[in-house]
Amino acid sequence: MEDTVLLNALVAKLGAEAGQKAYDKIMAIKGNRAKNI
Amino acid sequence: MNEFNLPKKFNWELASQPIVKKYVADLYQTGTDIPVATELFNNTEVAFTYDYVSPGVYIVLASKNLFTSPTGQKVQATITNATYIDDVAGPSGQSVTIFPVFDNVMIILTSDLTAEVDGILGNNTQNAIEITIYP
Repeated sequence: MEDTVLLNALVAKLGAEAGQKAYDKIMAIKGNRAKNI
Repeated sequence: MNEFNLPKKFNWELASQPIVKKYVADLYQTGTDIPVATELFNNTEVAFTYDYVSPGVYIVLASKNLFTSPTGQKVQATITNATYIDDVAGPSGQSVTIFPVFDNVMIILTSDLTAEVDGILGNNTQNAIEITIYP
């Protein structure tokens, strides 16, 4: 599920490239956590 | 003769040894505030600043690019986990994670194991961040 609020916040603080990379890694970690619980 | 030469050799070895650099700080975060870092040690010549993104999501920004090249310097970032068990209310816990995402950017995630939440860093246990830079 896409979290546009988080993505927009990260892009606003880090710029487009770093913000997108941060978002992708965060969502990957969240996805793995959901699978493990 | 040997006694005279030994100290000189020893000094040369010291000067040639690569230096491991380290940054250590205690972290505290509450509400929607930016994490507060109390620096305990830093010989990295890098300044680290913090920012708040959303509940349980924080930025650590380095003043130099630490993660630019996988073949360059080796950097390890760790943070004390905050796991605890609440036996009264039932099994519960917390998780604290740090990971690099860009040249000079790391992300800290704090969660109650179901979602990212604030107020974990430094609240139930000491949370220290440690960044080690190997040459």
